[in-house]
Amino acid sequence: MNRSKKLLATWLNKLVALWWQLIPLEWRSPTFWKDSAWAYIYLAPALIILGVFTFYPFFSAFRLSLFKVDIPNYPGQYIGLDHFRYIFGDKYFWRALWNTVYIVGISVPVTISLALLVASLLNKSLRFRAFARTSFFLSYITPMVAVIMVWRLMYHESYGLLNYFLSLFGMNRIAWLNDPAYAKPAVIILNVWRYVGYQAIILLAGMQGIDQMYYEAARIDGASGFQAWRKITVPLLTPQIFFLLIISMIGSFKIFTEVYVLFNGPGPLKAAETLVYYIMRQGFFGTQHLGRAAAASMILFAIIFVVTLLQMQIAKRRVHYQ
Amino acid sequence: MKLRNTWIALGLLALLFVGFAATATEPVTIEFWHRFSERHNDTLLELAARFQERYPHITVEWVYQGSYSALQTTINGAVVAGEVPTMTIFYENWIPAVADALVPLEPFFTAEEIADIVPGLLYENLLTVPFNKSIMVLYYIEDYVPVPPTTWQEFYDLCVANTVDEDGDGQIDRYGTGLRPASNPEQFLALLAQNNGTILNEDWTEVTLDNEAGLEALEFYASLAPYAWITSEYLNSNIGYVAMAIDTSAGWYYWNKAAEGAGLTVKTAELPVGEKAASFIQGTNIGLFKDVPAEEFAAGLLFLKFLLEAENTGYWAARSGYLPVTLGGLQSQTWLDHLATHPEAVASSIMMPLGVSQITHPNYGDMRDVLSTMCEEILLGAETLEDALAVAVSEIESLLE
Repeated sequence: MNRSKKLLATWLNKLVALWWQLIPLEWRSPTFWKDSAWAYIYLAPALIILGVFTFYPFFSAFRLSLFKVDIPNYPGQYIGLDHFRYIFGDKYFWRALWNTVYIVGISVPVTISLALLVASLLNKSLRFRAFARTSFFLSYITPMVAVIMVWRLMYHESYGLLNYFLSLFGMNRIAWLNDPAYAKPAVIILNVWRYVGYQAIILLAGMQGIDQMYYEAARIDGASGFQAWRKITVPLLTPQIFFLLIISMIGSFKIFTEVYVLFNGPGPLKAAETLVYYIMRQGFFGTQHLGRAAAASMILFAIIFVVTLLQMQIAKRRVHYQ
Repeated sequence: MKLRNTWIALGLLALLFVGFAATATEPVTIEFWHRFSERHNDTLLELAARFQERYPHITVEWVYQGSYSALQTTINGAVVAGEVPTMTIFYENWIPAVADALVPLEPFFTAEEIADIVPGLLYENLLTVPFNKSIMVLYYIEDYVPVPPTTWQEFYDLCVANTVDEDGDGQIDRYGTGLRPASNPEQFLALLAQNNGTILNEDWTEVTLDNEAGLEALEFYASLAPYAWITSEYLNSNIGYVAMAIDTSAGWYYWNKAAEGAGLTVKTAELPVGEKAASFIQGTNIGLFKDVPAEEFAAGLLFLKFLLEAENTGYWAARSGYLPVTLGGLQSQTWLDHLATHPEAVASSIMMPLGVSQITHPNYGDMRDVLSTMCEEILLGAETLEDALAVAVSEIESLLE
């Protein structure tokens, strides 16, 4: 009996010792905890807000995705992954996913490319540079719904500005908002226009932070303006480009208001229905399938999460911080 | 089920009398959730003031809850949280989800009172009573259509005649009509009702959309496609682009405003008749919640009855652009005076007793989605009528399970 007690004590001691070894050195110091305590106190308000308004709704939505919601007996009957099965078998989910990928795949690179171009022009010693900078930023700071309403008018089939310009070139009117073939392009054009100014300002700030010494060295080596832009400006802007890529991709995956206000629905034949619109349609537009909507939002989260992880892996190799 | 509801109602009735007798002079506040836009504020306040003149101890508090979908979400959330208002407005298909939280009102109404409600607006057990209702009528631009059509054939012929390329550039400058399949399948449902068609049979066990009446209505609807501006936008947003439109009577304010701005004259008429004169009624109802104090419920019931009184439903309709929801209201002096000065309301007033409402099936929201998709696919030529109808019928069948 004593022997086994001794053996147990020895093993416990070994276990504690191993556990102690696993604790980082700085954690063993009381000063570390004293300092950290203050850090956590400072962080607490933000953590509480994040907890209440982000983490709790996230986990709550995940839980909801496993139930067939019954309002008086909330949350209702537990049905496991049935909602996920339904969604993966729903052709409109796949259509919404394709529409979203299409919009993200075109609008994100086009917006960043145009923003790079605009930022490069604004970086030159132009006249009215301040005015141009403000003008480009206006599209971003104007309330979104107001902007979209104006675009609705511009896209209008019979008296829209875009069709007027087309008619000047003898082209036929386009039913931008009523023809399934033009529904996604209409969203992409609006999205690019809205964000190009904002992205240009971010890139411009990045450009102005690049040390002039690199350009002087390039000039001495005989590099042309374009070569300097390609070999110095663009590589040194990769942190900003990467940042824009992440936020614009996440933003584009979450497109909803543009579609909702522009088409007063998901577009003709649901041609512009995005994933978020699909979620809203399931959960809130008359049908109130809250569990299904929660499951679809979990899928959207997973997609964005995976794509962001992939981007971060690529960024490790492509982004130059100095 | 019926017996249980009767007992519940009798229990509540007893509570009502006890509660009301005990607190007849105690101040009570009724919380009424709605989503009426700002332009109806004065009318709502006036109704509340008139009610308070009669019952000085009861205050009506109108609480605006945002869009219809926001209101539905809020109602569902309130039921889950047990924090319900005294009363709220509902669309028919919202009711099944919260039916257990509502009081069946049938025992509180006399047979005469029930018979006075417009026939197309009576719901099982009177779980809710109608409030703001509109009906599909025909809008026509008099500058293009001097005499409105009275039959489907006339309507079709006028659609053909009014689909024109005025400047000869090969593009249509005006369409005969406008169809909004995705956002307003009720246009089709109005035609379906005119053809004696329904989506489901009476006991909701079978889909009847593809029977002879349904098929005929759908064929007529589809035949309008070449002469229709097919869109999800409000048809009055492009005034003059369509010569006629089947649209809700509640839209008169916007049609008229747009027409005045464009220097056109818009008028309304009864829907062109198919097999019979009929139309589709839209709008919300009022329900009273169980989970409120007895005196609050009693006060809410008094207000509900007040709103259904002929002169009051007439007043609300005249001021808001909706329609009286009782037969007495349609004959009330206030409403008749309104018709004398507002000819645009005559067509809807005539059609109201002939209207049908949406069914209260718990999956009606999904069924409406299926109908929208079917209508859109047919009109935009994405599917043949037969294929789209077959898919719709099969999807609706799966929603019956």
